[in-house]
Amino acid sequence: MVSTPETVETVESATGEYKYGFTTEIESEFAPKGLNEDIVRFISAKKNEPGWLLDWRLKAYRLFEERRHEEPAWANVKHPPIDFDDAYYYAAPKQTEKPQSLEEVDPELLRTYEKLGIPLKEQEWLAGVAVDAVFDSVSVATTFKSKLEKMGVIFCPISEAVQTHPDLVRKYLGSVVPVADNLYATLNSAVFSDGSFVYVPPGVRCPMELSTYFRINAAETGQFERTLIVADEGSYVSYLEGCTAPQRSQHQMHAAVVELVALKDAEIKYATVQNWYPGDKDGKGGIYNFVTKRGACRGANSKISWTQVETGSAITWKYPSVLLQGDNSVGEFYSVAITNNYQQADTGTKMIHLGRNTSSTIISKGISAGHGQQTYRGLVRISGKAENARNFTQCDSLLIGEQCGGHTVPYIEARNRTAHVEHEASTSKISDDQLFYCRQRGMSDEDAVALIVNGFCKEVMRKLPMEFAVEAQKLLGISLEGAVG
Amino acid sequence: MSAAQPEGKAPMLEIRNLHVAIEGKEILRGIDLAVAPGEVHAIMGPNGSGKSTFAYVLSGRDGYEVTEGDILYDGKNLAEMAPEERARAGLFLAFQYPVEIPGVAVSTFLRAAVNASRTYRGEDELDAVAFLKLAKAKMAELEMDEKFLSRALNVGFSGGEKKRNEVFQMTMLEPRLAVLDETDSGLDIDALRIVADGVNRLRSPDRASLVITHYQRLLDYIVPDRVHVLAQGRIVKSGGKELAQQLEKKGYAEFGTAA
Amino acid sequence: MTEQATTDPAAGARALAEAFAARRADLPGAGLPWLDALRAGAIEAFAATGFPGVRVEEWKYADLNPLAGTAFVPARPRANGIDAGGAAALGPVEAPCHRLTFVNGALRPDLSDLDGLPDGVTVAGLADALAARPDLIEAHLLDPRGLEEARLSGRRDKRPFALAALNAALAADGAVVEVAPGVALDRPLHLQYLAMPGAEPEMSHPRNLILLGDGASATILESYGSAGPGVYWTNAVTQIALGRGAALAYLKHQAEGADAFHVGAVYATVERDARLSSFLFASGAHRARDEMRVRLAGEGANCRMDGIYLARGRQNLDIWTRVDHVRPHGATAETFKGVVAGSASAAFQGKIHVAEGAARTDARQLNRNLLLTDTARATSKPELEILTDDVKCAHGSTVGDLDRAALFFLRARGLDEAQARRIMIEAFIADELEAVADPALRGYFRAAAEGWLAAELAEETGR
Repeated sequence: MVSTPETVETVESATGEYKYGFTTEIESEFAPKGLNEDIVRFISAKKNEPGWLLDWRLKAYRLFEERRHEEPAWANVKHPPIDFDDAYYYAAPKQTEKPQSLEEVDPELLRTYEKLGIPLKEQEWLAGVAVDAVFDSVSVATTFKSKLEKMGVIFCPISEAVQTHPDLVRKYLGSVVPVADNLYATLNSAVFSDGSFVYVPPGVRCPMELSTYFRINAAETGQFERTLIVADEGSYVSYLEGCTAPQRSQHQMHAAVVELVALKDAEIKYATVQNWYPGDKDGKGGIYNFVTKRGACRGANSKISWTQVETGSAITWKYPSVLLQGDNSVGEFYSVAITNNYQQADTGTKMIHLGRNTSSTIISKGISAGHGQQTYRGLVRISGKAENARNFTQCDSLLIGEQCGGHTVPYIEARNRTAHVEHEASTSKISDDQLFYCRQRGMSDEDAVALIVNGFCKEVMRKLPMEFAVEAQKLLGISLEGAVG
Repeated sequence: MSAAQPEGKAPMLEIRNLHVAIEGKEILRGIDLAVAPGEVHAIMGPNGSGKSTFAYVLSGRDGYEVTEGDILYDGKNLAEMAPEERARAGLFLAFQYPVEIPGVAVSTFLRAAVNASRTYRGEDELDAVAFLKLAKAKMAELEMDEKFLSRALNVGFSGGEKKRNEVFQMTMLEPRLAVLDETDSGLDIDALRIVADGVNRLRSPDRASLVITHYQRLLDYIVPDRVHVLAQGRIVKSGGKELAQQLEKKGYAEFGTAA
Repeated sequence: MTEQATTDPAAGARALAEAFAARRADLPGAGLPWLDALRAGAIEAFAATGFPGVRVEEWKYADLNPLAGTAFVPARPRANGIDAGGAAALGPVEAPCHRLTFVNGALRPDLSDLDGLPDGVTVAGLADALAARPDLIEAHLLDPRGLEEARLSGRRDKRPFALAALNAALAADGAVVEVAPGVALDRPLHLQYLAMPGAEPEMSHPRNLILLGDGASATILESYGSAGPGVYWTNAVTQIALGRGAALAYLKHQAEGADAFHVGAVYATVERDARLSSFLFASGAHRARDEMRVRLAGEGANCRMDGIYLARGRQNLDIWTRVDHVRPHGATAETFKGVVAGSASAAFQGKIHVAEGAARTDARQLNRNLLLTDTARATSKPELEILTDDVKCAHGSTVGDLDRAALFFLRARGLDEAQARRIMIEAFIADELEAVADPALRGYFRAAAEGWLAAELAEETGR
């Protein structure tokens, strides 16, 4: 939403002049590089946000300034210190012209789309080809939107929700991931660009995967996405983020925050397929993906499941977690992560058992090849009052080659004797015998690896929404190209 | 010692003075063999004679080095072909110890294998429905429970189930040259009969089989055209099916102990 | 618990540095240039980082503040009460052992028993060895200045070794055991550390060296206990070096007094085809940290690590292990079981690190914890760092109460709840005691476990 000159005047008079003298360019598409309080105000003004939200951002920004030199150092990832001032925090200038047709698109990219089985029309959209407004999917989107409206489901960009449903946003924003939670969440709270807001009213079962709708309509994913999903009593929603097609970004660092709130008897399923640009074969370039995701099972009998397929990014740092506050609540985490070439991932989950009779299931499958380094880091905490808590964790690592690494660091902290916590982990490789068996049946090395890896990840892949399962399986194969042989 | 040349037909498989070493140690010391289409040859021998080495070098397993001699399949030098190329050209190995692949269903695996060959031959791939129909028909012939299709490949299979699964794969892939490595070991008499029936159903003027076995029993059901005795890395005797019965009576003692 | 604790760990560290300065000239080996330099460097290393706090990942669950906040004086020798027979009675009575006894960290030849030590086996006190054979000690004593924790992220951290550095600075005595190549020690050797606390909190820093030549074998029991109540601190470091093909059964019994602090670190290097089997039984002290680091330095090196930790009352027991596989064909089997009662807490952290060159490694790790009361706490962190693919590694961890179905079954057969619980807890522990190969030594530990359990159950029913 572009601010009108009147709004700018109002803001200016209320808060004093912008220090950096670019007010005359309020119509411009971007703020200059760097991070300071005026940029935060600029972002808020551009979005025409109410005062409470600006205050919220400013508090976060000031906290960030105090802590910006304390990047978390305990994760098993190596990267040079991030220069937070060397980035655009609002709408970087576009550097390239849009391609006019698929013929102008990088053939390597097209080859990947083919392998994933993505239909031609979608390839155009994904590659940023300048398409006409008349596009099949637009009508599909309209049908979905009206259906959702009829059921009272709110699904819109968060910036829109701030205008149309401010009370809802204000009630829940920052309630699951507090501003002070970690450095990247603090930064995100100050400068978040946009993201999804979903609210499902009591008793409503969202009629479709919010994935499909989202995929067709999503604009280029912002650097600081902020998503908030609230499932009211007895409701159900299934949401899918991301896509299998390799995604480039003009930003090196992505720091998203996702908050889920499930009230009594409600269920939220959140699936992610992440294939951000992982860097080239020598580890140059590639996106840093630092994400804070947390769900709160606030009400009794509520349930939150996280499913993720992480194949991209140069560095992944994320721990989708569930706070099991309500009695009988259930948390689930299913993950497949691939690190090939020089990718690094330190990922896992936290299941915090607070209520009674809570249970959590963690299934993590990590595959490492090339010089990839991957760590599963999980926390299962059973608090003193969490009677009868149950956890089952299974972490398996598949290593391919002599130079990759697969590490497992589970923390199990139990303070209640009625708890039952069980954790198993194993590390193995694709054996030469298995590869030879497949090849003797006519499969190429690559097909064999894809087949075996999919078998290894089966339990997790089964949890994905149907329409993504097939693409995701192909994605696993593509991500491991060159790993064997 | 050389196998008798078949009359008339050009051999599908021709092995000339084959020497094979594993990590520098010579196991096969000059094998000559010719197998024509339509024929079933049995390779028998005491433990350690090199029978499995023979099977592995034909199928192209890493670590088995041809140090001298040739293996020609349809006139082409097999040693230059990768394992999957040999498979797509119609060579099938029924493993003595089939490996487990967790999480991969028998049907998923086999469909990938079947379609790899079909694509190579320029045929359309089988979709799930067509594949299932074909698989069920073959399984019925082999008296196999359909539940096998959804089990993870060889995981938790008994010895007999693994062998039957190998023959099932063979009947689905319809190879031109089948190499059966001790397919009879671990089978009771009923399973043996079923497996042999499966192999026999594939017999045709265009196809050939190499049946590697220690015991004569299987050869009552899969009647060979030629029998060769492999001892200490060489074929020391060849003959007709009677040779197998003689070996059953007298054992391998006359051929010396394993190297 | 004598309330002497201040809340300033930094002050505690400074006080120790001052204690060193005061004592350095009197320590054994003073005047040996290499040792003076090592001790000086060691105290600097300790002072640079102080007591490792909760922010140091490896010491996260150790909770050393009460230790750091207490002022300790060097332990004084005390003679009262005990004779050689008495010392023997405190050890494994059914397993006749050679024995070296220390009281308050100082060697007591009068209480020891080294009769009939076979040829090729040399056992001496550290102070004596520094006088008689300083070259031997120089060759083997670990220089703490070189000790760093290597993290996967590439960072190197000296803080986890702060207390080992303090030990190097202040060590006044300990045991030096050498078994010559090919020699088998005929009977177990018991290194017995007894504390006789005084009015003030006292500290000792024993340093043990256990050196087995190629093909040598031995069984060594290292025990820590107290002959009276009071606050004291044992800060021990034991170095183990196993030559090619050597075999060592190493058993550690941590049964320090109820008000004591125990920090014990074992650093072992296992060469090609050698085998280390270690067994830890930890039930004593108010706060204890038992650490084991094993480096499987040669091909085919093998390590079996077992242990039982029993915590009750308000104890805090911290078990920390790390096994480094650096060469191929190594194997590790690690099993630790814990029982936590009262309002105690116990933590197990086990790290297995398989380096890039360690193909064909087989490593297994299992940790099982039983919580007996509503206020007991257990933490488990079994960690795998694997940097090559041709390996088989697995670990498992469980935390929970006794299986209710099994309890019900026993009760349905006529046992009351207390009897049923007792049987199941005994079974849980007994299972792990099987790791002690020598039946007489197993009996010694079983008696210790039974004593613990009896005291705990009595307290529970008394509640």
